[in-house]
Amino acid sequence: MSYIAKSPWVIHYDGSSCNGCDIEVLACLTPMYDVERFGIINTGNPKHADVFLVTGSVNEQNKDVVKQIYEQMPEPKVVVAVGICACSGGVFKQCYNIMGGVDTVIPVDVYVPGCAARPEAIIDGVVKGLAVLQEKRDKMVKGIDAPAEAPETKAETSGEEEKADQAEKTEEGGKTDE
Amino acid sequence: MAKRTIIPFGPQHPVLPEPVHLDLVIEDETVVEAIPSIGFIHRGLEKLVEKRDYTQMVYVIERICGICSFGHGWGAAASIEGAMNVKVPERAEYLRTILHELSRLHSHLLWLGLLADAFGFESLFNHCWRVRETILDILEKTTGGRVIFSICKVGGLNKDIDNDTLKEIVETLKELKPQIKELTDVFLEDDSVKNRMVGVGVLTKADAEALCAVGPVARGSGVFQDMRMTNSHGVYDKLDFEPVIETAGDCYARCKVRIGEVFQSIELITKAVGQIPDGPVSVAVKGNVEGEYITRMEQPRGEAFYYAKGANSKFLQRMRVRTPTNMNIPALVKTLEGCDLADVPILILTIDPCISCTER
Amino acid sequence: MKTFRIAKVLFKSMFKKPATLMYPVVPREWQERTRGSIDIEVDKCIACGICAKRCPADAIEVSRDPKQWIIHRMQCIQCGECVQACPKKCLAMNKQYTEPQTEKVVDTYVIPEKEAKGSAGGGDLTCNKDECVYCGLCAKACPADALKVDRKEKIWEVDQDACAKCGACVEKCPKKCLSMGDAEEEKKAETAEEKSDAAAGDADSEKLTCNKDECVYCGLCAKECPVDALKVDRKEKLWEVDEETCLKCGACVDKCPKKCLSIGAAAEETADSNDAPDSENPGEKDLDAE
Repeated sequence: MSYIAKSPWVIHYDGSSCNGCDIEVLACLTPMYDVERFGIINTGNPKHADVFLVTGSVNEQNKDVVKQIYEQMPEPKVVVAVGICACSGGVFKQCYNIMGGVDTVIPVDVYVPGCAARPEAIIDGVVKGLAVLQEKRDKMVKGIDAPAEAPETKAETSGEEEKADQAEKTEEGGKTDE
Repeated sequence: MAKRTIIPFGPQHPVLPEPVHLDLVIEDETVVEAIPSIGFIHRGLEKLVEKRDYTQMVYVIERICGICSFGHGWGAAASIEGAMNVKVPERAEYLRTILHELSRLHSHLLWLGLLADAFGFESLFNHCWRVRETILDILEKTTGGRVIFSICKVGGLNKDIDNDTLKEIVETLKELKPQIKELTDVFLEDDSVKNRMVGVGVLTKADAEALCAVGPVARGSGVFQDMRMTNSHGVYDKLDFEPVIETAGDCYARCKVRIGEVFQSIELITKAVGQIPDGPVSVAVKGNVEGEYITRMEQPRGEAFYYAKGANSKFLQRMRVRTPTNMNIPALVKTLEGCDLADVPILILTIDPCISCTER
Repeated sequence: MKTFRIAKVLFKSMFKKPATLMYPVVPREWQERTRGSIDIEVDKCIACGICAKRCPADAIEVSRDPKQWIIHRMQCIQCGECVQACPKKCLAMNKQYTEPQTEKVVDTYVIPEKEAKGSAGGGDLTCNKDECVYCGLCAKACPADALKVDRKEKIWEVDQDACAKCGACVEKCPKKCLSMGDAEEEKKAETAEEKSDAAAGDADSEKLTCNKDECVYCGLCAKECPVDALKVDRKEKLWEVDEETCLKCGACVDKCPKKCLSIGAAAEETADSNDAPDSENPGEKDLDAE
């Protein structure tokens, strides 16, 4: 496993939630559950983060903020929706101001149910998210190498073709010249 | 004239547990004005009364806020019971009071931890929350949930708590008291902590009364107001209750009030367990809601109102909740004028903001 | 100058065992009342749909055709309202929470077809007005508040739209005068037998009597009486019935744990027909007995 899955940095944002799931996310960092022993740090800066923990069913005013934080995070990134309000809107699904869960705004990778989600469930969810993060990173690494190979091979083939063309042309040119 | 800059603070900020936006107008590191803008957590759940009947509405109102959730559940149930003229049994009132005081304990310990985190004192934050976990274990043992309890219903409580468990709770709290004392001594006596809190964010008594501040914010400025002194809810009249008042009006005074309330809650729970009668914990409630009723309750953050109005149907016509942080935000804006930029997180935390309560 | 006051706490915590629970390695032991997720015993379910109506988060769907019970795990708030509302007590609160997944989990349980139990298939609820004493126990037992009974006016009404056809009232009625449409003839035959037994008892003498040798003065009969005709005092060893108020409905006879009550002189016959109602509510009995 690469370093990214061994010590992911987490950013947490409350997207219109009641605070219950947010307290449980913070409780994961405190001595009873202590995810810092896995190297997880709660950072405040989205540009340093790998995992985005969102709580709350998103309302109209908050959806731009959630999108902005998501866009500021560098690839590869994982979104974990904590609590049923983030999964599907929860009890507030029929309220007028609610979009209905985080997946209406940004793509979600792991859903953690519960009202409020227990710290054990959040840890399970983040561990599943780390597996997804590792896959994404592997794909990204392959993705960086592959296009570099393809243009090279294309360049080789096209180079050969060009050379062949040039050779033909020079021949022709030569022929025409002569 | 010095140059003025506007710094946007929030909604996403490492020290804020909830999204609130403040535009701080600063002149060379001193805040001249603060313009709040809220609305990031508004869910409009009061309109759900049209779709959920009155027993389901208690679960919805309970989820206004996860920190003061027992108080909201009790307030909603009490206002509907008042409108339907239902008398709750005595044991249920005692149990509700005990659970509400446990909720206040966990809320104040949470606040103490967040305040320490705002200074940067992370080890104190971790110790406060470690102590709080014991209280969450007690709450899980009795109600089934750590944060959201779902135990209050119209007519009483869903489950009974037997007397042996209550005695165990008192024993656990007795063992916990010296640990809490060690931590609160750090807040009240350590010089580096005092430096950040004494004389910062002073709210005079006249301002507190003019701006209608409630809860520990008002009691820290000398206003003698606590809803537990009125007989509006619970059995506080049988427990010899006296509110904790300080007069200085700065962050240190508010901290002292909340610490005083922590120890007072432990005593109230001990007294209530000594006096609790036996009996049923709920009465069956059937029928429609008609009439209106208002309940006033002392949440950990201050005074809250719960108004229920029914029009002879299973669906309430109106459910209005007025929460304490709603009243404390003008006081916050007043204290922010003239403070240093580095004190802004501490001042925001010292009113114990619960923005999800404010915006429902 | 008091600095570094936290030194005492830090020093102590260096020598104490750490408070960490080591969660993924050490599995967590749940408390007794922990609310994790909802379990169902599909065999007992009758697809009445009361749980779906009571759910505050609309997480349960019950379909009658095909017979299925569906729960959206990512919408359930674990409040326990469905567990309390189920008339057949087939829902229970499991302590283990639903595991986090990469997609939204919907659990579907297929309800097996039942033979001749028939509370939820048949037609509308009807009451045999000749036998009915308007005691009101059916209205109290109704989880959907669909019944209206008035003893003075001699009114018995059912709201067929609200009625969930769960059959709780049919089982609760002490006179067995309720039935669900053209249900099963076997059930009718059973109830006819019980009725004839009870009627045989009634025909002898219309009087409620208590066998004082067996009676422990627990007071359960007085609590069950819909008209408050019984007075029981455990300390004084007192058991009295107000003959004029007593409706002879037989609810107390069913409830008595010592089977020492009878209407008329036939104490043995009533003992046999009392088994079914008692096993219906074991939970209530335990709470009352405390």
